[in-house]
Parts: sequence; C-alpha cells; structure tokens
Amino acid sequence: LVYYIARRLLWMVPLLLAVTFVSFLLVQWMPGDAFTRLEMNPDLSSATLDRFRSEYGLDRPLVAQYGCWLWGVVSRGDFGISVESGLPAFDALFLHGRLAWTLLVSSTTLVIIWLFALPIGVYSATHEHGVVDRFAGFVALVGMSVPGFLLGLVLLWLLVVVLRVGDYGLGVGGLFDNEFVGETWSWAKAGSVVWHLWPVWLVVGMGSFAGWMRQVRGNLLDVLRQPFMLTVRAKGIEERSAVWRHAVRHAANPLVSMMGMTLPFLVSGSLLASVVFNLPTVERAFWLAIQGQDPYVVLAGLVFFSVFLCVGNLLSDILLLALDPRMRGGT
Amino acid sequence: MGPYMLEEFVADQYVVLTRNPYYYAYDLRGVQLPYYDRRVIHIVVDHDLALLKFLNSELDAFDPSPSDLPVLASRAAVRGFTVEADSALPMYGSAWICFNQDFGLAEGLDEDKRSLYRDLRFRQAFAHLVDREAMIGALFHGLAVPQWSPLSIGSPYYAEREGYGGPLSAERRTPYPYDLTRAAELLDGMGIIDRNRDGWRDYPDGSRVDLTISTVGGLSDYEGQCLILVDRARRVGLHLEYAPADANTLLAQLFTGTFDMAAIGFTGSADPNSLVGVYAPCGRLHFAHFSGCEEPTAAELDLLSLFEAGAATLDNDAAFSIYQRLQEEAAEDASFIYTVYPSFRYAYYNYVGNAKMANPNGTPTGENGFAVDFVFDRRLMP
Repeated sequence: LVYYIARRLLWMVPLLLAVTFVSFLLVQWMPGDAFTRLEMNPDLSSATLDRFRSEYGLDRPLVAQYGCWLWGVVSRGDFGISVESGLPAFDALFLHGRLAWTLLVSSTTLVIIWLFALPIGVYSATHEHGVVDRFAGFVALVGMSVPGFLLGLVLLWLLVVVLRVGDYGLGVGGLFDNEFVGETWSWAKAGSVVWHLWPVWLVVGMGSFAGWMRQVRGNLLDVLRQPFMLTVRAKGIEERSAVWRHAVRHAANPLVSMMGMTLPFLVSGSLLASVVFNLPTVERAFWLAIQGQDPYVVLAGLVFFSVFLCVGNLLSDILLLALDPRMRGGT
Repeated sequence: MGPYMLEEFVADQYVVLTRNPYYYAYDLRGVQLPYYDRRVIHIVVDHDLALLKFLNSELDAFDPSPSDLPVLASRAAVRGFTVEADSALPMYGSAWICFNQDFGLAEGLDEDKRSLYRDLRFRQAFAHLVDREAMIGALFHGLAVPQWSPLSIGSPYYAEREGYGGPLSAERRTPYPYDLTRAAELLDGMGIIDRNRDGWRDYPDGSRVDLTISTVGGLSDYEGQCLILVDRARRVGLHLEYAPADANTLLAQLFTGTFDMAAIGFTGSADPNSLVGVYAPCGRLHFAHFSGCEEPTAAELDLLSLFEAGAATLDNDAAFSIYQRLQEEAAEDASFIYTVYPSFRYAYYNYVGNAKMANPNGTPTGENGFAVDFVFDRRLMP
C-alpha cells in the first residue's frame, strides 16, 4: 500500500506540471490583462500603465513568464504577487482564514451529505416504490436540476421577504449576525455561524446529496437481488441486520470512489455559494481574481484545486483498497 | 484626522471604525462629533445580497441600483425606510456611443462603413436616433438625466447646468434631439436608402448597411440602451445588431481599433479636462479615430485647442466660455454621442437622523456619502 501511495504521489508531479502549464496558457489567452480596465481611466498615462505591466513582469514573453513563475514556485514556494492587493498570491488566496473556512464548509457539507444520503438511500431501496421512495426521487430530481446559485437566491429571498427573519434579529449571508461583529468566539457566536451556514450546506450539498442518494438506492437494489442475500436471509438473519451488515457494505464500494470525485464538485459548488452568501473562502478570492484577471492568484487557485482533485482521487482509491480485498491484487 | 479611526479589518467580511476622540468638529450645541461611536462597513460582493441584507434590517443604509427601486419603493412604508433619489443630482461620469471611424483601415477593407462613420451626416443621423426619454423611463425608472457633453454633469463647467454661466442657449441645448424623421432625412440625403425594398437601407452599391453595437455583457443599463437603439434604428430601416462582449474583450477591441460601434462610459470628475485624452487626435483614448493622430480633422484640432485653452486660463469666466464652446462643438461633431446618466440615489432606515445630508459625489454608504459626522440614531434620542 505504501508503494502504491508513493507511486501515485510521484505521478501527481508531472500531472500538476501539465496542469500549471495549461492553466498558465488559459490565463494568458484571456482577453486583456489585469491592467486593461485601467486603460479606460483618463487620468492614467500609457507610460504609467506600461510601468505597472513591467513591474509585474507582464510585458515579458510568455515562456519567460511561465519559467520565472514555475522556478519561483519550485525554489521558494513563491506563487507570484497579486496585482489587486500587492500581497503574495498564495497569501491573497489562502490567508485571513480563507482556507480554514473552505475546508470547514467542504468537510461539513460532505459529512451532512453522507448523514442524509445513506439512510434515505437505504430506506428508499428497502421500501421501493413506497411514498418515501417516490418523494426522495422527486427531491433528487429537483436537487440535480436546480442550479446552486438559483437555489441560493431563492432561499435568501424566502428567508428575508417571506419569513422576515430580520424581525427576529437573524441575518442572512456572511458568517454571523451583526451583533457578533468584533466579538470574541462564544457558543452564541458559533450558533450564529451554524444559522448562516445551513443554507450554504443545502445549496452546496443538494446536487451531490441527490446523486449519492440515488446511487445508494440503485446499488443496494442490485445487491439485495443477488443470490448471496438469499443465503443470508435463509440463515435466519434479521432483515435489518441483513441489509446493514451485508448488503450495504457491498453496495458502498462504488460510493467510496464517488466520494473522492465529489470533492472538486464541492469546491465548484461552494464557489458560487461563497459569492451568493458572501463567505470569506478561497473560492470567493479565486472568483474575484478571475474577475480582475489577477494572473498569479488565478494560477495559484488552479494549482490548489488540482491538488484538491488529485488528493480526493487518491483518498478514494486508498479507501477502496482498504474496503475491498479484491482491489489489492492490482497494486 | 477624520471622524473615525480603524478598529478592525477582517478581509472579505467587514471593517469596524470607532469614533476619533480627538476629532476637531463640534455641533452648534458644543457636542463633539461624530455622534455615532462605531461604524461597521460590510464587504458584500454580490449586489443582490446587499439588497436583501438591507431589506432584512442588517444595514442602516444602502446605495441601490435603478432596478432595485421598484423593490424598495413597494416596501419602504411597511419596513420603515426611505428611498431618496434626486434626479437633479447626477453623479460624475459619462455614458456614450462611439463609432470606429477607422473600421477596417488596417486591413484595407470595409471602406463603405468607414466612410459612413466618418461622415458627419451619418453621425448626426444616429444622434437623432438616441431616445433618451425612453432610456430614462425604461432603464432608470425616471432617475437619470440626458447627457449632451463630454463633461460630467457634476462639473461646474457642464454647460447644461442652470446657474453659473449656463445653460446653453435655447437653440443649442439639445443639439440632436430624438427625431426619427430628421434621422431618415439625413440618411436619405447621403444616399443610404432601401434599394431592394427589403425594408433595410443599403449602400449606393446595393449592399445592406450592417452595423453592430457592443457593450459589456451584464451591464444591464448599457445593454438596455443598446437594445433601445437597435429598435429605433430598425424604425428608420437601419440594420443594427447588438453584440454583448466581455469587458476586457471590448476594451481590447477599443484599443486596437477593431470594434464597430461601442456603448460604454467613463468615470468622471469635476475637472473639465479629464477627457482631453479622448478628443486629442493622438490621445490614448482617441479610439474613435486613432488615425487622426497622422491626419487630424479640423474638428479634432479645434477641440484640442479648446481643451488646451481651457486648461491654460486662470480666468474662470473665460474658462466657462471656452468649455461651453467646447461642449457645443463636441456635441455637434458627434464622434461620441452622450446618452443618459443615472441620478444620485440612496436608501436608509428612518431611525437614521440627518440622513438627508448626503453628498451627491459619493455613495451613501461610503465615506463621501452621508455626512458621517452628523448622522445619528433617532432611537437613542430622549
């Protein structure tokens, strides 16, 4: 297993190099650059704009720019400077708690998806065509069809205009209510964070929840119809135990690999949610960097998300190896 | 030192300001200003969320976009807030349409269109198609004003301003009013007529006049202006298409002289010379006619000399007279056709006292908006 992990980690190096190069080309091919919008400012001269471009190395040939950037990353861990803030690109993207909030939102969403998708999927499979199964199917259809940003705006509208939560001192968007601005952490403040995050969990997790729940249901239905389940039941094992101890365990394998694939979806989902709900996450900083064509911050973000994807895939493969002895033959 | 000091800045979330105890200003009763001990400025990226936060009573004041006004107005009385919108106080800046008078010049193509854009009669005809009243009504809910000149309406030298030195004489104040008949006459006079009876005007060689106007996709005010123009052009048989573009794509097209027609704007200031780079034949922003640097037109040279004369004089009366002439000539030249500009607007909860002391030159929630020294909370009054 250690050899397998080491091999996978080594493979990530050329993969990430390729990702950085393609990302660099994509950033360069975007029309204009970080200073193009300043061209419309009548108070700035061409000489000033040229000086800005020179200071950030944007006037150099493409290969030289990429080479310098890559050397900075490899030799010093320097991802370049943010044109927008003047901070190191890495800091502009990850510091000020952004990485922590991203990890918190992603990990809690993942846990919540599991907490709901697994039991509902199992119940739907064991009560096929029942009322709950049909209702869950409808929710899954809606969850997969409605775009996250639309769901977010509708939720906010419902909270503010229909339910008028403001009359009860409850806020929407951001991390906590106004009364906690500048206050030290307390249970009340943590409670306010939960209040502000539940719509985010719903918006970010809805699509994945729907997919997982249907996957659990489908896999379990297949397993429940297999001959070994007949043997299990014939041995007189209680139905609940037969389902949870034998069937679900077999049905869970594909879900483990799905979990790894879900990580990037969570990140892309929380990108829009971070903007709509005004969360101080890496995704929001990345989004603003794209809007402002801040090249080195965009690159740092793309590298981060690629690493996130690779690590997610690796984790799911490792879990799969741990769960299914049949998979170990090929390592 | 200002009325407030920075207490805390949390990136992407908020800025907390506390009262400066050494602030120099006092009110008439001898109370030291500012009245509020603490101000929190929320950093909200999404404008829709900011609107919802205001409706949810999380923000005391808010600067709405024109499209927010119907939503706010219908709830103002129930929720206890006031929406102020003063159409007499437009903000600094300008919105315009311009033609690429060098269209296809580098490639040696499209001479017909280039000639069309260089023809003053065509630009004047197009200026007559700009239905400012419809734009103000449909896009700004009445909260915008027509704009006729390169100077910001907030500038003291803006020639349409009532008061010092102005307004323009009655016969010059609306150089090209919305007039479809006059536009059609000018086009007919140029020989731009419908030759094959398909409903669209053609060049003298029989090919259809196809024009494209671009603006930044997502800027609803500008997109709306383009769509109104497309409709008005259709009414006189001029085939105009609207093509939204990414901001940097459009700017790249402007600066490389590869656009067709563009509708966009500049930020502005009180300085009447701030747009000299747009009109000077060799100016960086002279994208309407970059080749004017080698072969300037008489109008370009004239406008440049007026800009230079205005900047050179210290006599305010003389300066006003120069800028008045400059604005008349710029409007008449119609290289840039100015459209409409939104008025100053803001919303605040009724418990905010002295909220009407807002400064039209800033946003109400920003430092230049409310006179932050004087606003107070009525709920705390005895």
